Parts: sequence; C-alpha cells; structure tokens
Amino acid sequence: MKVIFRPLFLGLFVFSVFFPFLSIIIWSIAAGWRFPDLLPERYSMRGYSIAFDPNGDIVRGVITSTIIALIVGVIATVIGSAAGRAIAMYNFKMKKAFQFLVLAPLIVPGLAVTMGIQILFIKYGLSDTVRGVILAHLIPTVPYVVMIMSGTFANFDRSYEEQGQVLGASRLTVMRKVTLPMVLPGLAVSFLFAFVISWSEYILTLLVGGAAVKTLPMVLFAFLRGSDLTLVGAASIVFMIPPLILLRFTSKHLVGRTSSVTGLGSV
Amino acid sequence: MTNKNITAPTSMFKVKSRASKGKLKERNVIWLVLPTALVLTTLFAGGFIFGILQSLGFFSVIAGDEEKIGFEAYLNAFQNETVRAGIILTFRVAILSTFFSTIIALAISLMISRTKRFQSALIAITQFNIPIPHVVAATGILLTFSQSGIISRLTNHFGITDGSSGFPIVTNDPFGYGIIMSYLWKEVPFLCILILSALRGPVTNLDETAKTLGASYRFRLRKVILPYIFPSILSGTIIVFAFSFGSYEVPYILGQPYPSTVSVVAYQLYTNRDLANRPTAMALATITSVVIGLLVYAYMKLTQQEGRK
Repeated sequence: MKVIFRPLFLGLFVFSVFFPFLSIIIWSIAAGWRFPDLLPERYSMRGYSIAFDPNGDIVRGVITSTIIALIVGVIATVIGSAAGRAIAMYNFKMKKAFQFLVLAPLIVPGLAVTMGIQILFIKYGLSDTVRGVILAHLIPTVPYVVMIMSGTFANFDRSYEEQGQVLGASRLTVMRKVTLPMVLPGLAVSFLFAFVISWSEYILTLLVGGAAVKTLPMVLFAFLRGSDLTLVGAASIVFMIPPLILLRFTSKHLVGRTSSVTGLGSV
Repeated sequence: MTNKNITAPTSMFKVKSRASKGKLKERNVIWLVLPTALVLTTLFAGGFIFGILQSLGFFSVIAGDEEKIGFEAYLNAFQNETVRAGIILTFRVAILSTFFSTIIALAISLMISRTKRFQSALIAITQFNIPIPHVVAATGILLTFSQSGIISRLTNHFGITDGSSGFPIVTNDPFGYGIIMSYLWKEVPFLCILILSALRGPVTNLDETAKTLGASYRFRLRKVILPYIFPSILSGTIIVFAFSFGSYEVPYILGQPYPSTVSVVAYQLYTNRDLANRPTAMALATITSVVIGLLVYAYMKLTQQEGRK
C-alpha cells in the first residue's frame, strides 16, 4: 500500500501539470471542435497563420511585450541586485525601513498602488506610454530581484573580492572577474523572474498603458472576450514559449545545491 | 550567533549572512540602495499614499466639484452589495488556495526528495510551470473544466454525465472552484521549488546524521526536516496568500461578474463611467492593502510563537 502510494501521487501530480495544456494545444490546431466530440473532426493551421501574420495583433504584441519585458528585466536585475547586496552584506541607516519597503510590494497588490499613482502618471504624461508601463512593471519585479539576490549575496564570500583587490585588480576588474561570475546564477534567476512577471502582467499594463500599449496579454484577453477558441489556443501557445525558453537556460540554478530561490525563502 | 546562522534558515526581515562577521559599514552602500529606494518610494509608497488621499476625497477628478474631504468613500464601499459579496469570495478563494497549495506542495516536495529514480525529471516538471503566465493557466483550466471542456467531453463519452449541461459548473462559478484550481495549478509548483531548495540545503547533513543515529523517517521529519524548511513554507504561504487575494487576471477569466473578487470590483469601480465611484475604488484598494498587511503581520506573529515552541 505504502509502496504504491508515492508513485501514484507523484504520477497524478505530473498528469495534472500537463493536462491543462492538452485542451490549449488541441484548440490551437482545431478547425472547430463541437461539444460531444472527443477530438476535432478536422484540423487547421488557421490559428497559427493568424498568430504569425507579421502585421497581426499577436506578432505586434510579442514585439511590444519583448521590448518591455527585456527593459524591465535589465533595470530590475541591475538595481535590485545592488540592493540585495546591500541588505545581505552591509549595515546601514534605516535598513529595517528599507527591507520593509522591499517586502511590502510582494504582499500589497500592484493594482491597488497603481490605481493610486495613475493620477500622477497622467499629470506627467506617462499614461498611455511604454515608458509608463515599464515604470509600473518595476513595482512587482524589483522586490523579487532584491529577495533573490540578497539570498545569493548572503552566501557570498567577500574574501575573494578582497584577495583580488590585494593582488592589485581595480574595483571594476574585481567586479567583472570575481563578483559577477560568482553571482551569475542568482542574476540569471532574477532576470527570469523579472522578465516573466513583466511578460505576464496584464492589469498594470491595462491601467497605465490603456489601449495605447498592446502587449501580448492584452491581445490574449481580447481573444478571450471573443469566441474564437482556436485563436485563444494559438495565442496562449505563443505567449508561453519565450518564458519556457528562458527557463531552459536558468533551470539548473532554480533548485540546486546553491539554489538562487532560497532568497525568496527569506521573505 | 554565526553558528545559529548556518543551521537556522533565514526569516522575515532578517536576511542573515554567513559572511557577516561584523558587517562592514561603508559610505558607498547608499549607492547600492538608492536606485531601488527611489523606485519603490515614488511608485509603490507614492501610489499607496496617493490612493489613500484620493479615497479621502483629495484630487477629485470631477470637474468643478468642490473637494469633499472625509470617509464617505469607505462607507460607500462597505454599503456596496457587490463589494460585500466580493470580500467573502476573495477570503474564501485566498484561504482555500493557500491552505491546499501548501499541503499539496509539502507532500509532493517530501515525496520528490525521497524518490531516487526520476528525481531530476520530477524537479524539471515542477519547474516547468513556474514561468507559465497566470493568464495561460486560467485559460487552460477554463478549456479543461468548463461544461464544454475536455473533461466534460470525456465524462459524457463514458456516460458519466449527460450532455454539456449535465457536467457540474466549476468554472465561472459562484463558489470560485475554477479560480482556486488555477491558483493551485500555479502555486503548488512555486511552493515546491521553495521547499525543495530548502531541502537541498544544510538540512541534508543533519538528516543524514539523525539517520545514522537510528532516527526513524517520521521522527526526522518532525524534529529535523520540518523545523528546518518551516521558514521557507512560511514565506511561500505569505506570497501565495497575498497573490491569490489581490490578483485580477485569474478571477476575471474564471470568475463571475457577480460576485467577483475585490480586485475585479475595485477595477470596475475605478473605470466606471460615473467618476464619483473613483474614491470608492481607492477606498477598496486601501482596505485590501491594509487587510492583507494586517493578516500577514498576525500570521507571522502567530507562527513565530509556534516556531519557538
């Protein structure tokens, strides 16, 4: 009984991870799929030909989303890892207050604060712009980076940097040749999280970007309001490919002996 | 102190460092902190404060309207039937999602950690849906569990249910089953990653020692493993609760127009044509933030006492 239980439970887990994708995939290649049919009668690539139409909403959405998520990912990773290092390795005035400021956005919904700041965004011309959307996306992304990187720097042995300096390397060289390679896994995971959060964000983009900034989630929501499930399926597939590609390059750092997500465990 | 840092995992507000023997004070730290401080102060704290001010009636967007300062918006929010129904639904969804995702994730992580074969494959599968956007997760749940979804087709085919209307309504339902399923699907792997990371830490050596000394798995679980991964579970549950309480996308796709979660109601009020609803939306946003903050604080206090025992 006990011997069977674990494989059964884990098998069920694996099954439920993949099962929801089945309907998405089938819908994306179905040429209509009436109710009682277990499988569509006919298949078509209509969904994907619309999805990959260079002038179509999806391709334009992919471009807009990629630009925004890349910029957000880079900014969040750079400024957040600096803050993570500060928290893990130094004492400074108002450190407690700063940590609170970093943790609070992980808990308070982004929608609540963005509704509040919207009035200033309108006043300073940031509403309905890509710049405004990038700023809004920093709210949920930066705290994740700070947490991940403070975990990374907590296990960082400072003496390596000191040795480099003693041996006459400039601060920049030490940073490039010693610090960066050592924290690279943390940086990779930070970028993954920041990129994926920005890439997936819908409500902040809608609030700040309005109809002017059409990221991929906006396009997918528009399809969801319609009734063309083939388009919904194809757009969903396109939507999840880039995050999965990113995961491919960072997965070995997600759970490992020197895991980078342990920082999140210290929230 | 240093010794304790190595054995005890980190807890809220205390990111401890192994290399922290007398943390160095440096003038340059300000440059490390400043960009993040600046961004979060203006955007996050600023948004929060401006939200409160607007909920109190400042910065009225209605042209020619005399600014009426007061708590009227808060009274409006609590008297609003949609808001009240939303609060009940939101609490139900957030509590059930957090509770079940924690239990399931804990069970799966412990099982994965004890599995020798397929362990790396199982971890890879767990990681697989971390980067899947919530919108896609909700879409997948919708297409799978709706009355014309794939499960309904299967049960209809095998004669378990009769037609699409014979299948129970578990998406866009008043209880929130669909929303909860979508959160579980996303949050169980997220928590698994946190727990598995903690399980791979120094606890393996402790566990090995206890095993050598003849402790049973049950005993090690209670006395060694669980206490060690407890802080990670705690942080995870806080993030999951806060997220499932305040998220918009999932309840929008898998919920009903009424009752809907607080976030959906707040956004509807905010974008309502009648601009008089804006302060009410701000009041609701403020209430949500404060409630989540207080709950997390209370939860931390409670569990910290529990952890000390």
